[in-house]
Amino acid sequence: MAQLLVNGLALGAAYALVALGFVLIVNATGAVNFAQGDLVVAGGFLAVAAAPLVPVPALVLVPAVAALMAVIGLVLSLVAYLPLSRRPPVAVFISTIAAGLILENGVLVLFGPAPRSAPPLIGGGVVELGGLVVARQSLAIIGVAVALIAGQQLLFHRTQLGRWLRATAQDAEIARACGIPVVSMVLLTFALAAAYAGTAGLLLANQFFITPSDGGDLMLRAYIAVTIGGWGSVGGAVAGAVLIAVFETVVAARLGHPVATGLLYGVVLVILAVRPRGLFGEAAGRRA
Amino acid sequence: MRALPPLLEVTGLAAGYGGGPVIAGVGFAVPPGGVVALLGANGAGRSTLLRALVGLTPVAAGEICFAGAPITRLGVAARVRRGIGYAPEGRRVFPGMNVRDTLLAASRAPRAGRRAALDRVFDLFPQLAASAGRRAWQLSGGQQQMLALGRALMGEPRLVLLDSPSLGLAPPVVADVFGAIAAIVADGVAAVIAEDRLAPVDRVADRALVLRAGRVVADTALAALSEDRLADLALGAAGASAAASTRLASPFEPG
Ligand SMILES: Nc1ncnc2c1ncn2[C@@H]1O[C@H](COP(=O)(O)OP(=O)(O)OP(=O)(O)O)[C@@H](O)[C@H]1O
Ligand SMILES: [Mg+2]
Repeated sequence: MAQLLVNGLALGAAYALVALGFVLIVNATGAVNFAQGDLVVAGGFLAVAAAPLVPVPALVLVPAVAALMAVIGLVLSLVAYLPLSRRPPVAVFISTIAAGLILENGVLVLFGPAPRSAPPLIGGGVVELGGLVVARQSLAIIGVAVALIAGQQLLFHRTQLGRWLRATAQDAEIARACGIPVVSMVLLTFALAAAYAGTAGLLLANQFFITPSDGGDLMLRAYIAVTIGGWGSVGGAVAGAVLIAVFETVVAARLGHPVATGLLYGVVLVILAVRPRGLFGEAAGRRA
Repeated sequence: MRALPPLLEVTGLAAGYGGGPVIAGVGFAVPPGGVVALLGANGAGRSTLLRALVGLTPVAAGEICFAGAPITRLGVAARVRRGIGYAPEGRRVFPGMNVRDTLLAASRAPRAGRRAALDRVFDLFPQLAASAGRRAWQLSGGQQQMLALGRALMGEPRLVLLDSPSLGLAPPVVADVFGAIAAIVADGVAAVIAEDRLAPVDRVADRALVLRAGRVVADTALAALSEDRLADLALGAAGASAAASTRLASPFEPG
């Protein structure tokens, strides 16, 4: 059971990065980035592709994959968000879905449909923690995710750049009137979100398998996490992601993956019924 | 006595939201340190004018000169950098950010300059200093208005555009807010202050610009205006003749 919990936490750590990127974009632009799941897949396959080329532990790949994904996020915002930012939100929904499909099919063409996995972050094996036998890989995933989430918090709450990013997310027009370069802040947010999604993909590909068509499922999980956590709340999204992953892992161990996934989506339907404004009702003003 | 060249000079300005101009043919000037009350009835176009001046609403025609240079075609950030501060209608504070971060965010100066600007705002608004760590949504309406004013000052402007600072505030709070505005202009910062009545602005402004349906109907010394006269001008009853006579009133004559 404890081992299961650690596995769930590791999965949750990766989901949390996905949900975090998702919520940053929602806050900064009001747009839902439906390509977020496919960015995860792209990051995973970047790690798969890079692994044989670089004879180093995958941990060293994290910054490289994050940087490449940031560039992809920048391109995504330039192509699928900026030209449509003055249109109704549905235009951006469609354009990010299209961008996601392009990413998914690109990965499919390059790597084929089979599930793949990347080498472990740090060597395999287990460690004993207070009588618990825990996979080192799980700990490494949790460690990387915690560091990245802490980094986001530091950036947003301790730096001037973070103040600009937050002000842009709170009220872009007034941020502009304060002299803040809001377009750059939006681009940066997309880059950051893609970097986090891509890193999540790397982490997932290390411990679990990843296939080109996983994007939709991952996107839905991020969406559920954000809905559970309360729209616009970073802490809530992270908590929601961990909750989902632990639920999924524990239920899957007892009843199998199909049941776990089915139950999870059942829960979404319930949440959407209870909070029908989930997708289109913008977050309450108190988020930070 | 030679008149100072104006800090802000607006000529033939037209602006709107895509469906035809909301304001048109607007012209006026503000000398350095001058304080203009921008008056008018609901929907007269005061907010639109202030938004056009800071660059949030596109200008369809006319020219805006600031500190001797045209800024009509500059973006918002460039105008702010040249020394224009803006406090929007309805305050629009960043609800989830605390007072300190809100103010710091509104500065483009490097760290030391940022801190200095923050200290000056805190000196001016002890109330804000006392709630530096509180999030904007937790503040009272008056405190939020102070925060919006402080935010407009963080870029060290030479001109502030204040849109309806008394909106939705109880009279004693309005007095507090205008006390703060008086302190701002006492530092030599020029101001254009939109209000719908004379009462709150008359203690700080020296001129009044009255808009009706997007056009200037009076540009007069504040002393020449009474609440009744303003109502006539703003609402149009006897507006035309009154406007003609007030426009003859003496222009700015800074000491
Ligand atoms: N964002 C907008 N889009 C379209 N029309 C607008 C917009 N904002 C204002 N208007 C219209 O422009 C006109 C002038 O509005 P404005 O807000 O400038 O007036 P105001 O003098 O500030 O009045 P008040 O503050 O009392 O509402 C009104 O007819 C208003 O309906
Ligand atoms: Mg207004």
